[in-house]
Amino acid sequence: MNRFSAEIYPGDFVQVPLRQHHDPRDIVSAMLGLYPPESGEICFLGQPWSTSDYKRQFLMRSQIGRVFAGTGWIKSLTVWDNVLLAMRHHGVPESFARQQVRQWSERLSGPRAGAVRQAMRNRPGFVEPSILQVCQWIRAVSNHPKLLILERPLHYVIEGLHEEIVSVIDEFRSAGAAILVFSEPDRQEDYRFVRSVRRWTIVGKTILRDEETA
Amino acid sequence: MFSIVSQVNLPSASQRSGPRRRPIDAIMHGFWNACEQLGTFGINVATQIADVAAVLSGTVFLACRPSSWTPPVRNVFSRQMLFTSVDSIPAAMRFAAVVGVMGIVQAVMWIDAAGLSPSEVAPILWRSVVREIAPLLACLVVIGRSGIAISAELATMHADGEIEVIDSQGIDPMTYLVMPRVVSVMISVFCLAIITAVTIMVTGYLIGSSVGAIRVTWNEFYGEVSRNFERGDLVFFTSKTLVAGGFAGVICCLEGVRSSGRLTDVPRVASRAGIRALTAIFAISAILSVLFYEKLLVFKFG
Repeated sequence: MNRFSAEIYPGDFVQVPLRQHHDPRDIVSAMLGLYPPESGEICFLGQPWSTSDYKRQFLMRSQIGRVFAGTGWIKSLTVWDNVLLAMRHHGVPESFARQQVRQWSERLSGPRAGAVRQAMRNRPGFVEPSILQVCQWIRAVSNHPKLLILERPLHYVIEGLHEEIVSVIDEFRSAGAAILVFSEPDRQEDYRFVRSVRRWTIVGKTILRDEETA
Repeated sequence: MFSIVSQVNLPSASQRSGPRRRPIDAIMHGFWNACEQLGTFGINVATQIADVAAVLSGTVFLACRPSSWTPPVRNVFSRQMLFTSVDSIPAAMRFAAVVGVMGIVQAVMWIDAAGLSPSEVAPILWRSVVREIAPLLACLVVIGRSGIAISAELATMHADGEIEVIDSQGIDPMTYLVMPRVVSVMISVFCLAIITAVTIMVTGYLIGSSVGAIRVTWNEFYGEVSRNFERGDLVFFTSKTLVAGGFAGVICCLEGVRSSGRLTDVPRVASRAGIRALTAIFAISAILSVLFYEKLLVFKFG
């Protein structure tokens, strides 16, 4: 980002088209306040990361769901423990958290529900990528986030699940969550949204803000 | 015959060295250089100690706050305790048994050489075990078995981006990764030091009595030992094991978290963490002994 200024409001859907060599991981981490920008500031819910105390920063981050590009798992925990980790840490009652994960798991796994249930008992290293990506989705949406940041979210996901994922995204938008997607353009065509979409484009190494398109 | 002769104008001695420096200036220059090096080294050491102390105080603060002990943190803590403390007991007992036997051999030599009676040597042995040997041995076991593993694990997590994953989900890595590990190392060193001290004394007695070096009954031996136990020893033993364990745990965690983020660096980070933690506990043992007993050695003969 260079001389970049933009906002994402509740219900917004912002697309950032990537090329194959782009890795959005660092910029997303910067957006989450993990790395400070060289100049300017990044705010979440009207609060700049730099002026918030650590406790508040962690609470703010707990309201953001993220689908990671690449590995996004703690290898020493099972996938089930990975998915529940943040909710358990933030004091969500265990029974409610389990119920949420089961509910989203049934919805997002589609015909591969059995495989996902089986994968949840294993460590991430022993699970195939297409199932792991579904589990990333389950983890990202289970805690009802206010902002969903999706890095190549349909990577490895089987085509049969795309429609369900699109409906989940639309549902979150209707409920007031903002969605920020970093993905290849051909993948973005998979999203068939009824409402407006905003785009930021990448030129060279710089992100630019585009106009809103219907 | 073929030869090349070339004429080269070499600079004279005075031209090479520039303006001639007086000997006193050269000495002063060397002195200030040495001061600068020493100052840089001192500042580096002070910075590292301040970092460790800051993380240790942060750990104690977090550990005292009940809200830090969330279910995942308790899970990490219990697993670390199992690995660092419970699984280390056989190794600690093996080392302690060997030290106990060696201690008895040394005691027999002292008794023969100095013409002392066993009752005069017993307090010295007991104090050296409680004040110095047991805490140090427990630290060695914990660092060798768990400290290096902790630094390697954290360095690997850092290289794999797992710390970033934890942070992204709003989980404080200090609370989730560092605090439970440091607290478990502190408690483990304390518990293992007690087990080590008891094992040294029991093994020492068993071997000593079986070879005829100790000629008193177990009750008399135990009575002699318990008579030599002072309240100050308990305070010293507790503070020493907790402080040394805390420093060892923090150094190992810091080395892991501060690694370069490359998997190839993990073995180097682990060995560096082990060496630094060992250096720290030896230094802490010496400093605490001096502070607590106001002399360089804890023994006072005569």
